[in-house]
Amino acid sequence: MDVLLAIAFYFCAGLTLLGALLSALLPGGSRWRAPALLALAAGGSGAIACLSAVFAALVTLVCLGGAAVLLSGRSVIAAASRERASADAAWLAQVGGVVAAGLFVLLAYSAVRGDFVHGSYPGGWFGAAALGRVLFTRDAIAVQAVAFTVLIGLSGLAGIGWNRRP
Amino acid sequence: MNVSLVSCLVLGSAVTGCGVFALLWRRPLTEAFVGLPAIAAGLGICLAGASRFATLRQDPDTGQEMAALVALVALAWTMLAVGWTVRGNSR
Repeated sequence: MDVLLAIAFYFCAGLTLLGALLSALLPGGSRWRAPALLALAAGGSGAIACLSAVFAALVTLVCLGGAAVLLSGRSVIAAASRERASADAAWLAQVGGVVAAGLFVLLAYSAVRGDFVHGSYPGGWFGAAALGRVLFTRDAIAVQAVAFTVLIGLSGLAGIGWNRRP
Repeated sequence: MNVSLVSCLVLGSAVTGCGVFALLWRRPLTEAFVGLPAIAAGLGICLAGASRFATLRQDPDTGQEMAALVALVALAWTMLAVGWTVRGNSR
C-alpha cells in the first residue's frame, strides 16, 4: 500500500474515531449529533475504500448516512426527551459502560500483540462484479435474510407514518 | 507509514467499542441507538481489513461482502428501532 493511500486511511481513521466518540458522548439534544454521525459514515466508508473495497464502501456510506439522517430526525429527538424525563438512573448502564471499555481493551491488546502472516494482495479495486457473483450465487440465502431484515426495518419505519395519520 | 491488519483491527475495535459503549451506557434507550452505526462501521473496517490483508487468497471477496451486509443490517436495525421508539412514545 503506497504512502498516499496510507495517509488517506489514517485521515479517515481519525474522522471515524472522532465521529464515533462524539456520537457516543454528546448529549441527545446536541446539534452536533448529526455532523458526528455523518463524519462516522464518511470516515468509515473512506477507510473501507482505502482497503480496496470501494463497492462495500459505497454500500456503507449509503447505509450509515441513512442511519445518521434517521437518528438525527426531530421525532427521534422529541421521543428521547420525553423518555429522558421519565427515566431513572440505572446501575446496569454503568456496568455496561465498564464492560464495553473492557471489550475494547481486550480487542486492542489482541490486535497489537498478535502476529499475522504477511501476504500479497492480488485483488482488484472496485470489485462490484466479483461481489455480485458471491452475493447472488454462493451466499444468496444470506442476501435474502438481510433483505428480509431490511423489509422488517422498513415496516418499522412505516409504523411512524401509520401513527401520524390524521 | 504503512497500513497493516493490526491498524485495521485496532481502528475497528475502537470504533466498535465506542458503539457498544453508547448502546449500553446511553439512557434513554432512544439515544442508545446511536451506537448501531458505530458498531457497523467498526465491523466493516475489520472485515474489509481481513479481506485485504489475508494471506490465503482462495476467497478474497468474502470480507468485503460481509462488510456490505453488516452495513445493510445496521440500517435495517436503525429503521426498526426508530420506528419502534417513535411509535411507542407517541401512544
